[in-house]
Amino acid sequence: MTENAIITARGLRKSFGPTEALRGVDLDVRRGEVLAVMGPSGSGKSTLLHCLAGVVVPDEGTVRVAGRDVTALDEAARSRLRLAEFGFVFQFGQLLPELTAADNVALPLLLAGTPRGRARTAAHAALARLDLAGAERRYPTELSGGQAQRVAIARALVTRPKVLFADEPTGSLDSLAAEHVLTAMLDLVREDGTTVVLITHDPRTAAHADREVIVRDGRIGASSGMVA
Amino acid sequence: MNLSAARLALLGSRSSLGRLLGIGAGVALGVAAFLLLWGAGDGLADRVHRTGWLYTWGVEGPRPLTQGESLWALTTDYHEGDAIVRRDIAAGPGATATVPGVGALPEPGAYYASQAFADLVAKTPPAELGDRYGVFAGTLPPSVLSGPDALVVVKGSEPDAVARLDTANVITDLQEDAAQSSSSYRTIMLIGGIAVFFPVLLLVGIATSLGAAARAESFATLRLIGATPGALARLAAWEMGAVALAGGVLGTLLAWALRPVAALVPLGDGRLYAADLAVSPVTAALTVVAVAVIAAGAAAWRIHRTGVGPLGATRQRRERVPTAWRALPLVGGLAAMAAATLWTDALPDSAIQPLLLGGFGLTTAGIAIVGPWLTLCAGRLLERRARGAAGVIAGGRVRATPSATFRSVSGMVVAVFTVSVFAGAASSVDRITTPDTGPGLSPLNSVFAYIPDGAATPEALRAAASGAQRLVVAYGPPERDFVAVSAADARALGLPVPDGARFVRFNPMPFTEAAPEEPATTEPTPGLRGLDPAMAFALTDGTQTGQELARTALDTSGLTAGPALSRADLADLGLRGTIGNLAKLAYLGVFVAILIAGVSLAVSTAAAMLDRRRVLGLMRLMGMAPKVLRRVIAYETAVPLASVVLLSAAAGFGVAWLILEGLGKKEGLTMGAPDPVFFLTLGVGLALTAAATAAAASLVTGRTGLATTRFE
Repeated sequence: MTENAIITARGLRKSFGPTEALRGVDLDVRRGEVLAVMGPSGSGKSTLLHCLAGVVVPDEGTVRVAGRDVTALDEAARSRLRLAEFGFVFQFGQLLPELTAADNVALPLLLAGTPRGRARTAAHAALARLDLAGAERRYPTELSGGQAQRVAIARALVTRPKVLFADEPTGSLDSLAAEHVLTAMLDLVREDGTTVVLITHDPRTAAHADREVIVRDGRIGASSGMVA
Repeated sequence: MNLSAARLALLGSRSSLGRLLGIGAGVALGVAAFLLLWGAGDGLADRVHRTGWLYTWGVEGPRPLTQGESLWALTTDYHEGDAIVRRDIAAGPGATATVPGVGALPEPGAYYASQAFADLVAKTPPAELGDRYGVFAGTLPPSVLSGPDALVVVKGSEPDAVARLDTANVITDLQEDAAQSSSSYRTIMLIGGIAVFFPVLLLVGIATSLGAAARAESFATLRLIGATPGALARLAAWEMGAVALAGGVLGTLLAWALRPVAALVPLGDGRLYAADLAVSPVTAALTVVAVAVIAAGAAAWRIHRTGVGPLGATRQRRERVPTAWRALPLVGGLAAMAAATLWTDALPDSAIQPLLLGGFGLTTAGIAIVGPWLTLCAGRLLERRARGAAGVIAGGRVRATPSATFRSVSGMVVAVFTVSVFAGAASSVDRITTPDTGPGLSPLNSVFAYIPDGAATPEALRAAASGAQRLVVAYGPPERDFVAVSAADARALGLPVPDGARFVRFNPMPFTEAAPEEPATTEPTPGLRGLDPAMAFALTDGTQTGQELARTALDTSGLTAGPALSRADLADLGLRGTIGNLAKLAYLGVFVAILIAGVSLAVSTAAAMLDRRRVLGLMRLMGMAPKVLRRVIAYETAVPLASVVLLSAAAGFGVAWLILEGLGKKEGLTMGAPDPVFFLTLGVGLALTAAATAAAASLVTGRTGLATTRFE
C-alpha cells in the first residue's frame, strides 16, 4: 500500500453478464492528489470509478477509503459514505431542472440533514467561489453549459468532500469553456486539499492532473507520474 | 428517412416494446370500460322499451268493456321486502292488447310470470305468496322483462275484480315508451355516465403519454440522422395509431368477454341481461377508430409541441404557469346548476336538464382544470416551507410542472368529486329507507290496504284476515280525507287518544308514510255513523311469515283496492325512485372510477419518475437514500391531492345538494349525513393511492441505479 493513500484498491474484478469490465485492478490514490484515469471507450474507466466510489460492489477485490473497507459495507452505509466523504461531477444532465442553482448546490447538505438556511448560505458561498455570485436564483435552463457545469462542481464541493470523482466533467463543453471549468475546479480542490479521481478521454484535461493511469481492457495498462 | 431504420430505432429495444405494450394495455382497459358503460347505457334504454307494455296507462277509468278493450290495473305487490310488478287484467270481448311474448291474456284465476317470480313461488309456501295469484299459466320471455331478476306477474281476473283496484283503466293498445323514464332519471343516468367516463378518458390520456421523455430522446436521435419534423410527426402518429388500434380491438374483445361478469352488477331496478351490455358493431368500430385517430393526432401534436431540434437535443418546454382564471369553468358549472335549482319553478323542464347536465359536466371538467393552479399554489408553499431535500426536490418539481403533477392524481380527484356527489345524493335515500317509528305512525308489524267505497263489511274483512293477530277497520267518508277508529283500536295502532275520547279521527296519509314530516295526530270524533270501511290494518306477530300470510289473506279476500302494504314497503318504494336509482348506480360507477384512477395514478407516477430517472439516479449516486426518493414520490402525490381533494369533496356535496334541490324538490328530498359506504369508498381510494405510490416508488428505486448514470 502506498504511504498516505486515501483510496486503496486491490484485485478489482467486475463483470456485467459475459462482459468483464475490470480484470484485476490494483490502484492507490494519494491524499490530495489529482489522478487522471484515461482510456478508450469501454475500457472500464467508469466501472473503476463506480467501484472506487462505492456505487457498485466489485465481484472480487477490495476498496479501502481512509482505511475503511467500502466493499464490506451495505448499500445504506455506502450511501452515507458517498454523501459525507465524496463529491461527484458528471458530463451533463446532473442538475434538477426545477430547482434554482442555489437549491441544486444545497441539496447534498440538505440530504445530510443540514438546516435549510445554513445549507443555502453555504450554497451561495460555494457558487461565489466558482464566480457564480448572482446566479443563485437562476434555473439550469437559464445557464450556459459552462455555468451549469460550475454549478455541478459547486454542488460536489459544498460538503467539503475528501474525494471528488469527476467523470468526463468537461466532455460536453467547448475547449475554452472546458479549460475555464477545469481550472476553476482544480484551483478549488487544491486549495481545499481534496483528492480528485478524474476520468477523461482528453489528454489536455489529463495534463492538469498530478498523475495519469491508463485503463485498457479492464486493467491498468500504464501510468505516468507516481507509481500506481 | 428510411422507415425501416426509424422502426428499428423506435421498436428495437425491450423498453420500447414494453412502453408500447403498456400503452396498448391502457387503451384496451379504457376502451373496454367505455364500451361496457356505453352498453349499460344502451341496455337501460332497451330495458325501458322492453318493459314499456307493463306501464301502459289507459285514458279512461273502469267502465263496461266494449269490443277490443281490456281492463288493466298496475300495482306493486311485495314479498319479504322484494317488490313484485303486478298487473291484474280482465279481458273484454275480442281484447286487442295481449301480453307481449305470450300473445294472449291470462284467463281469470291464472297468471303469467317471469322465471324469477315462478322460482320464488315454487320455493315459498302457497299461503305466503302463490295463493294471491291463482294457477301458473306460463312464463314471460326475457324479451319483455327488465332483467333476469325481474319479479313480474300478470294475473287474469274478472272485470269486476279489476275494476275495484285503484289503478284500473281501459286499454286497447300497449305502448313501448310508457316505462318509468322521467327526464330526471335520464339526467341522473347521464350524470353518472359523465362521472365515470372522465377517469376512463384520463386513463387513455395517461397511457398514451407513457415514457414521453425516453421517446423524445429516440426522436432526437432520428432528427440528428436526418429525419424532418414532419417525418417524425408522421412516424409518431402511425406508431401511436397502430398501438391504439390494437389496444382498441383488444378492449372490444375484453368488453365482450367481460359482459357476463358485468351483468352480475345490479343497475337501477336490477341486473341486466348479458346481451343488454353488447354494443352494436358500428359503435364498437367507431370507438376503436376514434381512439386510434385521436391517439395518432395527439402523438403528432405532442412531437410538434416538444420541438425536437436538429442537433439531437430536446429542450424541455416549460409549462405555461397556470393562473386563477382556471377557476372560471368550475364557478361557471356550479352557477349553471345553481340557476337550474333556484329557478326550478320558473324554468321549463327542457331547460333544467341541459343546465344540470351542462353544469355537472362543466363542474367536473372545472375541477380538472383548476387543479394545476391549486397544485402550483401548494407547490410554491411546499418549496418555501420545505426543510429537507425531499421537500425541496418535490416542491420544485410541483411548482415547475403543476399540470404534469396534477395529471397524476386527476383521476383520483375526479373520483373523489364523484363519490361525494353520489354520497350526498344517496344520503337522502337513506332517510327514506329506514321508516320512522313511534306514536302516530302505523306499526311496522302491520300491513294495511285501502277498501273501495262500499265494497266490504267489517265482518267480511275480519273473516278474510283471520290469520292476523288483530284486524283494525278504519272508517271514512267517500273522499277518504280522514278515517276514524274506536279508542281501543287507536291504542292498538299506536295512535294517541285524547282523554275521554271513545272514537278518534286522523289523516291516513302521514300515518302510513315511511318518513312523514309529522306523525299523524288524532282528534275526538262523536262516532262512526255515516262512515264506511275505508282501510284495513292487519296487526301481525311481526315475523315475515306473519306479514306475508296477512297480506295474502287481505289480497285474496277480494275486498281491497290493491295489494296490502307495510310502511317498510313504502320506504322501499322511495328507494326505487329517481334518487334511489342514482344511489344504486353511484357506488358501482364510483368503484370503477376509483379503480381506474388508482391504475392511472400508479402509471403516471411511475412514468413521471422514470422520465427523470437519470437525474434521480445521479442523486442516489451522490448518496441520496432510497427513503428520500420515496418521500419525494409521496410529496409529489400528496401535494396535488391535498390541495384539490378537499375542494373536490366540497364541490361534490354542493353538486349533490343542487341535484336534490333541482330534481328532488317535488319528492321532498333533503340531504343527510353521508352513508358509511362513502367513507369506505374514500378509504379504498386512499388505500389505492398509497398502493399506487408504493408501487411507483418500488419501481423507481429499482430503476435509478448505475445504468442511468452512464454517459458514454
